[in-house]
Amino acid sequence: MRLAPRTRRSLALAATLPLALLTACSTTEDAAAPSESSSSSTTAADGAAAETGATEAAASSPRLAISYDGGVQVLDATTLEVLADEDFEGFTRLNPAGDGRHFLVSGKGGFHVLDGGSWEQPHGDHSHYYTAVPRATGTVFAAEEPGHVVTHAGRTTLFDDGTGNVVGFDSTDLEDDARAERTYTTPAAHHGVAVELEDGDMVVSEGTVDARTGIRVLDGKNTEIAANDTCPSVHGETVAADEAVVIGCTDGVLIYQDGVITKVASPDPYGRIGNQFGTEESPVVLGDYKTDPDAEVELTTRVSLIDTTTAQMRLVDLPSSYWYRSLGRGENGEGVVLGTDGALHVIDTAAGTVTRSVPVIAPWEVQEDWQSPQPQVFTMDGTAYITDPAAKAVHAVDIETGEVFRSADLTVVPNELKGVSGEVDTAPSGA
Amino acid sequence: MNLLPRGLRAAALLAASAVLVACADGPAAEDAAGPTVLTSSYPLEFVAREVAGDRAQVSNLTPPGADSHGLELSPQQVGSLGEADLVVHLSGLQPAVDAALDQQAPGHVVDAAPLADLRGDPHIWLDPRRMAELGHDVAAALTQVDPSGAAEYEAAAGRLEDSLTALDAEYAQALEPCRGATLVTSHEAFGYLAERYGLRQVGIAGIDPHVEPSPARVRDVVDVVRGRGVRTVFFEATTSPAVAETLAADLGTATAVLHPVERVAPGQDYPGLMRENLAALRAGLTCD
Repeated sequence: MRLAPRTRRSLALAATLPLALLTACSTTEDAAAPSESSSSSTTAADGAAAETGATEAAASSPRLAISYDGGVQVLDATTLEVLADEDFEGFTRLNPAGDGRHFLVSGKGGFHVLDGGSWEQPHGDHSHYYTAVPRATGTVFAAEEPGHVVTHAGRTTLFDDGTGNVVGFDSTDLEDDARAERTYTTPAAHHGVAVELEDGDMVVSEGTVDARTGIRVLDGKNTEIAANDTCPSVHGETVAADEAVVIGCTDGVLIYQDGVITKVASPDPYGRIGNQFGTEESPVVLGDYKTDPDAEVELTTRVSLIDTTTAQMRLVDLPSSYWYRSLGRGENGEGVVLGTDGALHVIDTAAGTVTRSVPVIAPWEVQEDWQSPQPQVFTMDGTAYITDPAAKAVHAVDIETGEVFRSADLTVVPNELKGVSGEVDTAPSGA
Repeated sequence: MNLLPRGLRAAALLAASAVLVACADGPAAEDAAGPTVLTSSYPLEFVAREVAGDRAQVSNLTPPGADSHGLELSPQQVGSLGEADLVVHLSGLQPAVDAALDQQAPGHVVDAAPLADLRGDPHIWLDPRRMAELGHDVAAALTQVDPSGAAEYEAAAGRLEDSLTALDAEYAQALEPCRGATLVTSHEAFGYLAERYGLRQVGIAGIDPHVEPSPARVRDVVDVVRGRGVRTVFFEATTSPAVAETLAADLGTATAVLHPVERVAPGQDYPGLMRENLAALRAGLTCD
């Protein structure tokens, strides 16, 4: 075989052409000629691959973070091996930061950035994946009472319960000191939540320390474009398919979609939904459901399913009780709930039926103190991760088949459990 | 990605002439030790060495066996880029090199990016014919730096072309019965190879050859592989027994190594790895 004539000669000086000409042909001028394009060389994307201590991996490496009394451990979510252990003082909450890589640890002084040590660098039509040792980066978003962290549409929104301050930014700018931040302060401080939508509109809770009453929707300039004050004790948010935002109330939920707020009433006068779990894969949101306003610990055995396309709610009876942090979603839209019977109950959220109950851990009891360690569920990429404080163990369950495909012992008593995918543009389900 | 757009090729050609005229008597040509050539990754180093022969000194910015994508440059290396008589690189592949070249312009540059005309795929060296073309580009650039070596460089580029043509012929002949076969790879680096020899590259994501995947990730691969008559999933590295067993059990496929030849270990070289790849493809693809 003969090579084709080199008709498309490609001697390619073009990329650096002006400089090459300038310096190659001059013996008198300074070789370090000013370069107009030099400022493009330090973008975050460029730097990401060249981070110190980074190792290339063949695939994305999801990570889990597990809080315990005194710190947070980071695990490889595939092997369940502990990769790092960072000290954190006092009670902490864990949140995925929204970039697929970092966690935000709500603790003393604000939201502390914890690097999960796994990230993706898109490279044209494929990607490269890197890992490094997880670590607390030292970056802190100051807050008096760091509360909800919401990640959606590439934006991360932090809510400070102590001040009502809301801070929103591009999730990928988390570690960039020069990031552009959107700020807003609610009229009164309260235990609140805010979520920024794709078009820059923001749904934010409304209320005071004594009474949380509803939501307001702000445009990109923080001008109110919609409001609803019929959501007693407003709590929690999630986003379902077609960007339907679902906010919990003690008598139902509010759905915000395409500029319109719709109230969906619970079938009971007091029917509290406070923790919602949505996924872009499904228009149906899974919520907890409680009917006793006076109970310290309500052993509810019902969950709610809110169809955001019809604004209908229905309740599903489970074989056992649960608590609000033992819920999650599968990659095909399934709902999963770890019951106090120790089984993971898988719900067909379209049909409203329990399709499978898989024994995972020993039976357990819901405790009065929500801060004390109890079993938790975090769902990511079709896997339900489950912690068992009593046995100091973590399990990985394949939601589609119910197979407990990996388990590991822990050296600490696990409290909260969250994960990051190690990929960009990810939206782990959760409230 | 900042690969050179097609439209700029004409400009590049013009530029080459301009440099030729302007710099025919560049100071480097009088250097007794011969021109210095700096390459940014192994495949480019291979071509440069073949073309330069003993007449020029070729060195590579990426240490042997190191990751070229994530290459970091020391201040000395950034300086060496500016001092080299010729830099051979592939813009868009290595951000650190692109940035350094922005700041430290060397005497002459060959950017292989125009050869990378498959959108988003920089792995031109997996096509022997593109490598041959690059050889002639390097010869032309070396001739500008060192005009008295023109005949030697062009002869060396011709010999390189001959050997790469032979390699290309081996590929074409061996893979002829496999035309239309699906090449399932964990790293979509083989687009130029697939295009040249009539294969359909399908990438699978999410499987690390050393880490037993979750059932959900295996299902993703099953969805890709099913119905395509695939016998083998190709990885960059040898899979651990656990991963191989999982894929055999759930997919009914074997695993094999297809080397991206982006970096080499001691004792490996471009022709050797390309022939190992050919043997793996012939053994693993579904061919007539």
